[in-house]
Amino acid sequence: MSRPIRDISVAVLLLSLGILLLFSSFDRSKGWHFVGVVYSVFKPIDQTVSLLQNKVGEIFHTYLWLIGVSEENRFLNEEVRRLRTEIVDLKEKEYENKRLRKILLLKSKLDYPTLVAQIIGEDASGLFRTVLINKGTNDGVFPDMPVTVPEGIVGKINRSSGSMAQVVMITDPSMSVDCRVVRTRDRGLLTGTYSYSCLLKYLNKDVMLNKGDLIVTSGLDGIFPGGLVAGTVEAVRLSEHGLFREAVVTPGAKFSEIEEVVVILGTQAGFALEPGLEGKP
Amino acid sequence: MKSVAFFVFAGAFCLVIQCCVLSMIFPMELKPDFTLLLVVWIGLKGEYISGLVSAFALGLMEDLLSGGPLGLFSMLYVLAVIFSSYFRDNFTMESIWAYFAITLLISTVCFGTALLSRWLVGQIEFEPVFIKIIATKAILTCLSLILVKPILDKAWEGYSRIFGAA
Repeated sequence: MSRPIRDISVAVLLLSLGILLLFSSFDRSKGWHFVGVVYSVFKPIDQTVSLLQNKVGEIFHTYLWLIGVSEENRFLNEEVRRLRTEIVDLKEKEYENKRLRKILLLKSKLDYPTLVAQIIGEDASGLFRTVLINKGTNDGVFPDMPVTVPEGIVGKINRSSGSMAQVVMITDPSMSVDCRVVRTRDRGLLTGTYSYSCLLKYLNKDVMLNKGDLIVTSGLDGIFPGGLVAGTVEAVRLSEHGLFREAVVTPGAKFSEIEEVVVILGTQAGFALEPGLEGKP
Repeated sequence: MKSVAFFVFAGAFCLVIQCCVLSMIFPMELKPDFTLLLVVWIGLKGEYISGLVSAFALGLMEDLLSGGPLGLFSMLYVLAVIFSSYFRDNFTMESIWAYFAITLLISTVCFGTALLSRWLVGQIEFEPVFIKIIATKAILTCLSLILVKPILDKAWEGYSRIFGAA
């Protein structure tokens, strides 16, 4: 058989076989042994190739493609640090916002000209309970002016210079404020002590006070206007000689947390207020 | 004069720390008095006249930055210099323990006098807690010596080298 005839014959045979297979209708559900043989030959090869492919892919993903990850990691760490700082800043601003909102509310409630000042330092010796604020006589702040925060009274101006003033707090033992119990309307003298925060002294012996009773300024001491919150009753007892009743008072203002205070520019005694000062920032 | 400048500058620095930094660490009444430590250090150094002048100036500054009457700390600090100079002249002050003892004694007397003066003028009533305050404050002040004395020694050494104050 010549070569061209052989080639053509083989091609025709194979094509015929293909057509025969294509058009044959055997039952596929019963299986075909040839398919099984092919599958069983290819299965392990396929599995091995697939496994190798996965492993190689893993190697690429885990090791080779990690070349830039350390750089990315450093960048992300920096980003995290920056974002954390930003969060702290935002929280700080949020607290500041809340504080200033309260102070603004207090300013609008008070019938007197007021000035907001920042606390810039504490008593140098520590033996006196005073704080320093960043406003002074240039801003219209003079001795004996009352100082307060939204939660309660803070104290009064002790000394004042051009741009700074010293506030003696109500917790200092030398400080006295005429106060009234809101529920019973009884009056007493609120003084600071070293042992407790504050003590409401010289209350009528028969007065019945409860824990949590609100204490406000009476406005009769010539310094603080009436109705400002001073604190709440913590405990009640008889005075040393049994003549009066006295109450341990927790001040409304949390002195360790105060950052800004409101100075009331004027005293009930009639401090000569210079016009226009209340508008100063 | 050069030494006075150093003492006053160091004292002003101590006062700023007392007003603004120490309150973050210690309760108000118990915070150590760095300025008093400085004054005792000046006295024990033997700088008598310049020490007295500086002590008075520093006391006046402390008076202004604390709620006390003007002159209280000026007087106490001048006395502190006098006492510490006396101890320096009459006892051996080589050991750090001697430093501790003198500081403890002077600070106890100083803080006690400050509170006593308030009580004597009727500004405050006597409370048993005074003793606790005075003792704790004096001990804390004394312990701060460990931190403050080496800094003062080094600063003084450097200052003397530059300006020739010693």
